[in-house]
Amino acid sequence: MAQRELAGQMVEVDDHGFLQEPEKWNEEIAKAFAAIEGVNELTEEHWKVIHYLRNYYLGFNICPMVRKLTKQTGVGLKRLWELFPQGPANSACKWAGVPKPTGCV
Amino acid sequence: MADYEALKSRVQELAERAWDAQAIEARVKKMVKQGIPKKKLDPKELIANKQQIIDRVRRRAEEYNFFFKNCAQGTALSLMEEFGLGSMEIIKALTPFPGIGGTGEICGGITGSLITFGLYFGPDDPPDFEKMNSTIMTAQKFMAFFEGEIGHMYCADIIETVILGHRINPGESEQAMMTFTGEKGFEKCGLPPGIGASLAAEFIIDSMK
Repeated sequence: MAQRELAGQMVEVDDHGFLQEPEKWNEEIAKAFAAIEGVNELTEEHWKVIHYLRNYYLGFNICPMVRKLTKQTGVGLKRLWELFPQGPANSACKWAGVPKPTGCV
Repeated sequence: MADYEALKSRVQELAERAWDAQAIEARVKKMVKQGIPKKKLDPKELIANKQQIIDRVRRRAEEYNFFFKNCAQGTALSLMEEFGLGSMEIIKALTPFPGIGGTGEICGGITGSLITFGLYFGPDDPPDFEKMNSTIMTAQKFMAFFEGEIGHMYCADIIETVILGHRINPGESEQAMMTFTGEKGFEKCGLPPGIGASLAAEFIIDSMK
C-alpha cells in the first residue's frame, strides 16, 4: 500500500489516493485532500457532507447511497458536484477519509 | 438555479410548433427497418462541430418524443442515431420508462440519456469495475446538470413546475390522459428530452477531449 504525506503525517492510501486508515483522519487531512483538488476553503456545506459521510461510515462500515446523502444533508446532487469537484464518491468520500465506495453506490 | 421563465417560453414554443410529422415518421421507420446506422466517430470532427451536434440532438429528441409520445425513447433515439450506437431493440425496451413506468418518478430525459451513456462509456469486457464506476460517476454528474437546468429530476415535479403548471399523472386514468393531451402535454414534454439529450451529447463530446 502506498504512503503519502497529508497535513504533516504519513498515511496509507490506495491506488486512487483514498485513506486506508480512517482512524488517522482529522479535519486538517480533509483540508489537505481538498487543496489537492483546488478547493482551498471548506465551507459549512462541505463539512456537513463530510461529517455525515464519516459518521455513516463509522456506524455502518459502508458509504451511504447518494440519494440518502442528499436527503439527509439537504445538499442537492448538483450542489454536491459544485462543492466536490470529482463528485460525492470520488471527492467527498476521499476528503471524509473513508475508503473508496465500490459497486453501484 | 433553473430559469423557469425561459423554460416556460420554450415549453410554449413546443406547444405551438408545426411538427413535420411525416418526415419524423419516415426517419423513425427507416431506422426500424434498417437499424441505427453505425458510425466511426472522429473526435476532432465532433469537437469542432459540437454546438451544431448539440442543437441537432436537441431538436431530434423533441421530434422523436413527439412521435413516440415517450420521453425515454425520444431521448435515447436522438442520441443513439447521432453517435451510431445501439439498436432499435433498445428503443423498444425503453417503452415502459417514461417517468419510470408512468409513476411520476425519474424523467425519461434522464433514463434515455443514461442508457446511451451505458452504450458509449460502459465496459465491453465485464466485469470492469473501474469503467463501471466512472460510467456511474458520469451519469451522476449528468443528472446533477439536468436537475440544474430543469430544477427537478422527477416527471411529476417537472410536469407540475415547468410543463403544465399543475400536478397530473397522465398514466393514472383515461381522464388524466385526456387532460394531459388536451393541454398539449406530449408536445410540451419534448422539453426534458431536448435538454437531456443535448446535455448528454455534450458530455460524450467533452469526454473526447
